[in-house]
Amino acid sequence: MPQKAELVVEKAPETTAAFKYMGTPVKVAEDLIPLQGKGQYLDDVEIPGTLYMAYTLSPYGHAKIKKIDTSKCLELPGVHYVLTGEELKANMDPYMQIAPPPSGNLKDYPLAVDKVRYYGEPVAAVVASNAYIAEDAAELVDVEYEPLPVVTDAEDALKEGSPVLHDSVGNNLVWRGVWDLGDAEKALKEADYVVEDTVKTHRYAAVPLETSGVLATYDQSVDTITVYSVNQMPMFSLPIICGALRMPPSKFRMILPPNVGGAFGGKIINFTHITVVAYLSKLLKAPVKYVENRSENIMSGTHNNERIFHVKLAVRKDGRVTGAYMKAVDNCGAYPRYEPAGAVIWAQVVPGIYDVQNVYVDFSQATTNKGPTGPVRGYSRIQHNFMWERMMNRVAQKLNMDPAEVRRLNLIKAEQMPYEGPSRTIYDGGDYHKAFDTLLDTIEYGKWREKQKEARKQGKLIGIGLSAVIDSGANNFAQVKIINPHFPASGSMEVGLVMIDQFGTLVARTGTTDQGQSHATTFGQIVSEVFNTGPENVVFQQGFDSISNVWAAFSGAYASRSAVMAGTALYYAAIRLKEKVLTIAAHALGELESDLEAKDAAVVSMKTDKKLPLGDIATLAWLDVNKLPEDMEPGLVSYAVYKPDFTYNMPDEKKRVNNTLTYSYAIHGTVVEVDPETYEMKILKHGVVSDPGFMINPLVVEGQEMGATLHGISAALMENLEYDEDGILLTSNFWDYLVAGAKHMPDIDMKTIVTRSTSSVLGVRGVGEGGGGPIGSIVNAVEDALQPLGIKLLSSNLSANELYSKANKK
Amino acid sequence: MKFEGSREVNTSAQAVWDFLTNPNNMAECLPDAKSHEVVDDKTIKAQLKVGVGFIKEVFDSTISYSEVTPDSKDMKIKIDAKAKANTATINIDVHVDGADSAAKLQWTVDAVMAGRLASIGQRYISKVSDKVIEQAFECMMSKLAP
Amino acid sequence: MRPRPFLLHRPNTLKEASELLYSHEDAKPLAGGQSLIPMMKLRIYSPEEIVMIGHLPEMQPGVKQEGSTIVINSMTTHDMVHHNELISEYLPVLSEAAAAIADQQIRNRGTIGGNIAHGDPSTNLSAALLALDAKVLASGKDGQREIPIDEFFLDLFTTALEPGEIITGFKVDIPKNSRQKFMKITRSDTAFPLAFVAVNIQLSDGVVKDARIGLGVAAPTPIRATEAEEYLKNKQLNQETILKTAEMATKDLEPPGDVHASPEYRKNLLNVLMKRCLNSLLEEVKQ
Ligand SMILES: Cc1cc2nc3c(=O)[nH]c(=O)nc-3n(C[C@H](O)[C@H](O)[C@H](O)COP(=O)(O)OP(=O)(O)OC[C@H]3O[C@@H](n4cnc5c(N)ncnc54)[C@H](O)[C@@H]3O)c2cc1C
Repeated sequence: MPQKAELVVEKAPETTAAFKYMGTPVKVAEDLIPLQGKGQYLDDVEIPGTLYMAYTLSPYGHAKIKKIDTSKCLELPGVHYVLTGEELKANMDPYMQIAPPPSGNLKDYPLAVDKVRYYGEPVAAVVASNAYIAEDAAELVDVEYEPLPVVTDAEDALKEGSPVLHDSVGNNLVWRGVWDLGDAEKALKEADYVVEDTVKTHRYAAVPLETSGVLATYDQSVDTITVYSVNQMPMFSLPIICGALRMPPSKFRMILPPNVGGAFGGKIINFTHITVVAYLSKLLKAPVKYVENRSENIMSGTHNNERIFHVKLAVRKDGRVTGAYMKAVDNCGAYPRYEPAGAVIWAQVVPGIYDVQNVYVDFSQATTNKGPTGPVRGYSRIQHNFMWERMMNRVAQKLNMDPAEVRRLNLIKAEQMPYEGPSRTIYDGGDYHKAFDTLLDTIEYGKWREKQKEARKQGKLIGIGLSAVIDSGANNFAQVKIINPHFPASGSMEVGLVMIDQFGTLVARTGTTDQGQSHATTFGQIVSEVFNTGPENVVFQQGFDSISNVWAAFSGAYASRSAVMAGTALYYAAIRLKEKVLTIAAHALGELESDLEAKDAAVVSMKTDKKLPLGDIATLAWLDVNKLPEDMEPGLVSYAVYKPDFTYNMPDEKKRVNNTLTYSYAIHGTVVEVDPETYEMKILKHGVVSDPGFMINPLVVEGQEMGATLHGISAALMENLEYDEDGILLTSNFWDYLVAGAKHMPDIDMKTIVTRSTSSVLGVRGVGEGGGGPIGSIVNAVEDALQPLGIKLLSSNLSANELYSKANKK
Repeated sequence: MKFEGSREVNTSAQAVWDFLTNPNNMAECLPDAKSHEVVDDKTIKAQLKVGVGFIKEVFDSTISYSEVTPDSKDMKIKIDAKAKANTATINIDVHVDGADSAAKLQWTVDAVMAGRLASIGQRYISKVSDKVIEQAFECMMSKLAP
Repeated sequence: MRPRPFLLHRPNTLKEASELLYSHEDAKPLAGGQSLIPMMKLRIYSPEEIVMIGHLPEMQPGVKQEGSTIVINSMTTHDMVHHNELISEYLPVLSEAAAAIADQQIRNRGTIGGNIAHGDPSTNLSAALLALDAKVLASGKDGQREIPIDEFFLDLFTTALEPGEIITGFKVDIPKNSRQKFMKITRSDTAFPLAFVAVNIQLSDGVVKDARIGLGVAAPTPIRATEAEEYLKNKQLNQETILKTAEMATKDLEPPGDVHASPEYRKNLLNVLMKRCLNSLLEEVKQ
């Protein structure tokens, strides 16, 4: 019987000094398991009799499907079934759309129906007795296509006369919304200068080490489908799948294996695979498995939002930015599968890190003949942060000021904290100036400016770039109501369960699904702290199972929420359990509860020094239950659901809402050298100063931030999903889609300054995504380096090839 | 992908035109054809083994003539070619003119290559259809006027 | 990412291997598999039959000196080529070229024979062997022959090997008074390379007596910069001749273009690499 959810808990103590287990760099024990090859990933899960699925993929960016002939495919020995979009259409409903009509009329199925809309789109699913035969057979599905005109650019897609992707919608607009906050028009009118430019962010992918996969089995006896998947938010995705397959969620058992090899947002819209595999397993009454190959993952395993901004900033003579007016167009790709959520998620960081209250944004999102977009680390905010960081440099250029000075001048001040932004986001504390100045010291900004002067004299191209970003975390689903007031979700929650087993070991579970973020260690530390006992007495159970795990509908690891949300839920659950443990101990020892404390896997009396190990308490609670206090419910299990108050919980008519709970921030600085002959770019120095709030485990936080930094470097200098004019993806495997590895990682000078979050219970902020800091600092640095050549950059991705062609234009 | 080519032939434009519009002549000149069949006076079906070096795929191809205009000596040739995971749709505009023993054959090509080779073979693929078409015309013309 | 079905042969002798390859048009030998297997998995190339050759006694890796010639067996891996003492001493351009192939795992498996047999303009060792005037040792069903490397690369993925012929090794005469250099530019170790250059010059009193220059990703095949080589002969190596050599080596090139490098950019890189190779040799000489 779940206990009451609301609970009064004392706020976590204010200083880290008060903690014994939280706040310490406990080594991450679970990292050793995958490093030794002992991890249990989805593809390691084997069920006898499993059939394997492979897709037939679209060779076109846009084409009509005239005919599908499966006869040759079915003739191949070992082939069990071929599924086409037609059959699915007859047996399932299209996925629910977030956007209201007309774009809500869009019909999205996991296999193409009537036409293909992007290169690599699944057209048929072939099931065979092994994975080799399945792939061979998939090539034998004979599809007759009629190529259609292609549109890959979002602005083109919104023009009159553009090819239309979805006839049921009538045009390519997914959603358009205008934010008119403060008075941007007035600010522009009164400004000393209007600084105007276009900024573009490019398309790249999440690229987790492990691709997506599904294994589904159907149990006829109970008419239930068991799904093993790597979905990041299994219980949120489930209704989407069930709605389409017309089955109640209770007929699905959702399981995640103990190890998931990274996600970075790219394991949310994989519900299409889950739908197909689940459908097939029920139809064929057999286990069916599918694991994306790398090319499939790159082609359609979630691309990030490609966006173009046309911006005007209102600027005062002294460099203060007083307003921003912009039109943004977002490229959704072929199907909105989590979109157009990205069309509001950026609004978590409306003014960026700067004190700007007058902001006007006209935002549209369009479908195009590219792979579907969805959350990718820094989802939708990276783009907005990048825009601000490019524009701040433009302001500096216009006013002939140092870009560091322009930023300092506009940063939100510590005394303004918590800061309410123009869209009612509440930035939860911090000292942006201190972080910024620390970064300037860290990268020796002044010294490099001097060196740069010298270098230029010698014909060397050295540049320094800065970027200051907000990395918001723990989202409020109500923001999606801006798009569709009928969207049936708001707020957020996560659940924690703490129990003590028969021998006295503390066991913890939550609904978040670890993908390599060290949940076991971090969450173990929280339970350790409450019970004042070493981590060796705590077991955190990884993996997820909807029938035995605790879960909330929003459960999952996404939006930098795990430490903030699950950490708090576990903290509450542990405190509740401790209360029961103390009550039992008081009864057993004949002492007052107020004289007892939990310590080292026992309860000890501060008065008499008497000690009762947790194992003995467990025996009483689970077995020797007649010795329990009268009326006490046996067992040692506690459960807490944490539902944060965002203050501005729901959007108002001006689209204002506090979209997320915590707002960590990071300042990045990069020094680059560009080779004047080859235009290769080399990072000479990269510094990061961030404020993650209270760090439950500093090692884990550092790992997350290093990862986010590398991801940003990779995005700026390597990863790019490039399509040709026919909509063919030219970077469909690792030969051409370049991902930075450890070898590409420069030495990173990383520092943290810590201020507690004013809005999260434990004082922590979400940090997993990182806000894309390095992208802005690298692009700014390269442009700075190229200043003697007068080269202006536009996009968030740089290649030497492009720099060369810019330098040699005319 | 768009490209064009031309060839001068020391015979009359009419002779070039007559030779060209006979699908049997085209069929005999398809490079690396494993098999071919002239279906009617406007259609050839063929299995073409096309690629670079040893990297070749067998394309089931339909070659069809349309808008054959004897007056202006213009016609269109469309090639629909399909292999495992690869397709090509090639539209060729052909025009013949020129003086008696100095005919000129001109072609402009709009090729849409789709599928795996188009994605992975971006460095080389553009040259392939170019080469195949040039070879075919070259072969026909040297047969006509050796 | 699984290959189409194929038949795997494990012949007992080299002759048997040649015969198998000769009699099956769609058969291919398998060496280190570092080019062949990725293509098969991507399903852009699907030989119907694969003939294993790595286990054959004649094919065992090895490098030896025979008089003034270095003989390198076909199955010698990139890593071995990189670290071999004879090669490092006499043919440093080859050692450097091998060191610059992809990553360690690939260098542990990939072989010099496979690298050359592939007929790909983006293979490091082809440029190096062109610069070294190597001979390709080929064994066919009718016996052995030596093919000068200059005559080996015919077209993209097309070599002078006759049906059934297998590369058994390479012969390189040790160049005298030679200075050698290999340089490459790539966006990541395992990506398709942007450009590379292999240089081998014979110097006497600062004057170039002979020069061989191999260029990578410069044309449909690995090529030499013959005009530039000619020019450089009997010239003093200095800034002026270096600039001119680079200019001559690259002016008529039409390299392939892709998302990472336009033909013009590749051409520029080849030019820059050419200069850098020669400059670094000039530095060496000065010391
Ligand atoms: C990610 C990646 C990056 C790479 N980057 C580079 C690079 O930057 N530079 C570079 O040079 N290489 C690169 N390579 C290719 C690598 O060097 C290969 O090892 C080499 O090209 C082929 O050698 P192999 O022994 O693996 O041959 P295989 O892959 O086994 O064979 C290659 C071809 O040669 C034929 N063949 C093999 N041996 C013989 C023989 N003895 N006689 C006749 N034919 C034979 C095969 O039939 C096949 O057609 C890369 C490879 C990968 C996977």
